[in-house]
Formats: sequence, C-alpha cells, structure tokens
Amino acid sequence: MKKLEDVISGYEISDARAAFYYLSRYLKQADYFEEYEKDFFEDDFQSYPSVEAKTLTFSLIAFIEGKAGKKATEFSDEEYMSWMNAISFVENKLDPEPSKEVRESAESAIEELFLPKIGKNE
Amino acid sequence: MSLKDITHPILYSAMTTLAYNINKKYYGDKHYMWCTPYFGSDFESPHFTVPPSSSPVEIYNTLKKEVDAADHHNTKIELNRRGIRKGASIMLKLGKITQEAHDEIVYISKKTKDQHFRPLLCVIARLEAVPFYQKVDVKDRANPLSHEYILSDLPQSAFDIIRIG
Repeated sequence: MKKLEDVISGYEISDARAAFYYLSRYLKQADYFEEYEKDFFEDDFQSYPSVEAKTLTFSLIAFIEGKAGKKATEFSDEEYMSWMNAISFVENKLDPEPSKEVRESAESAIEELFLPKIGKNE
Repeated sequence: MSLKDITHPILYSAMTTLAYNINKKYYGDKHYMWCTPYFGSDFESPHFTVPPSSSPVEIYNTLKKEVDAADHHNTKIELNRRGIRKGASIMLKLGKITQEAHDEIVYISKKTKDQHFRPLLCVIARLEAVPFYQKVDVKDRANPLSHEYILSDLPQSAFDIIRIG
C-alpha cells in the first residue's frame, strides 16, 4: 500500500520539507478557504516554493484526500490530527544523521536558549 | 492593500521563543514574521479580515496551551518545528548560513522541549515595518483585501516583545 514516504521518493530534501510545510498549511486552513480565499503557498519573495515543491504539495494533497476519500475541508479534528502526526513522523526523518560536531554545537546552543526580556532586548 | 496604504499604526505577530533565539543566533538578529493590524479575535466583525488561524492572539493562546500541557495535541508546536526547519532550508539555499549551521538548526528544532515554544507577542510600529515588507503581486493573492503581511529581515530594533496571560 502506498505511503507518504513513497510520494516524496526521488525529491530533494528541501523540496520534500517545503511540500510538507505547505501541505500542513493546506490542512490547517482548510476550514477557511471559502471564506477568506487564502493562498496556502503565500510566502515572502525569498521563501516562495520551487516548482518541484509546489508539484509535490499537490501530489501529497491528492494522496491524503484520496486515502481519506474526502476533501480536507471535511476532515474531523481527529482526522486532521492524525494526518498532521503522520506528516511530522515522515518529515522528521528526512535528514541524515548529523555529525558529532554538529550535535555538540547544537546541544550547546540549546543550553543557551533564553526567554527574551519584555521590551526591545537591545 | 499594501502595508504602506493602511491606516493602522500598530502591527502584531506571535512568535515562539525558539524562533526568536534562532533568528538572533543564526540569522543576525533579523526576524521573519507574519503580522496583522488585528490583535483580538473579533471574527464576527466585517472589518476583521484575517481567519482565526492567523490571529496573533489565537496563535499565542494555542501555543501557550500546548506549552502548558493543557492541550495534549501539540500540532501547533510540531508545525513550528517544521517551519523552523523549512526556514533553515531557505537560508541555506540563499547562502545566508553554512551547511553546518543548517544542520545545527535542524537538530535543535528536533531536540528542544515544548517549553522552548513559549509564545512571544511582537508589537511593531507599522511605519518601521514598511521597508521590510515585500508586497506580493495582487494576482498571486486570492484575497487582495486580507490584512496579513510577511516581514523579512526585520531587526529587533523595529519591535517590542510582550507576554500576556
């Protein structure tokens, strides 16, 4: 049986990642499309998705709605959360294992995370 | 309507503590944010032109609930984790960060605790935001009347941070 992983097979990580992001937006905003006519691909000029990422997003939407047998606008809260969890699961595994240096540096950055003060934080 | 043409003096945006820290450490303290002149959630008003999912106070409260574990479905936090990774991917493509920095951000986005997604409310003077707003061509916008704006590379000097609730 075809899975989300199969739909993204052959795509670059950056396009798969972008497609999952816009797919999530599509699912999140499904209730509001008619009323607000939002474009779920809307982004700033630097972040606009590639043609490949857009094509893959539409493939993922077709896959999910095909599996569910209904449009995302008809998803219940449980169905929405179930698909969001499935997306997280696959997206989380896109990257190769990071090097020891990267892991150590990132762990140190996590230690330094801080809650900004109120105001300008200059 | 373009950001320079609206009359509201203040814009609002909700951000997570982790996104704020990553912008500060890896992106030269330049911030990417969606903002709107509407703070509240008066969805019945005909003047309120953004959906509930785009209301800063709604986003803030949803994140706060998830962080405080009042909500067991952390879909907003997971969405934010993916957004941070997507942002790093864009910055790498643009040549603004190295592969190592990208990999670090990806690792951080996966390993940080939900508490690091505590929301912050950004209050921005519209006039200070205008230079950091790239208007999307109207033909690309399904609803040209929607008052939502994306700011890129906004310096910390252009906004205040507050916390509510």
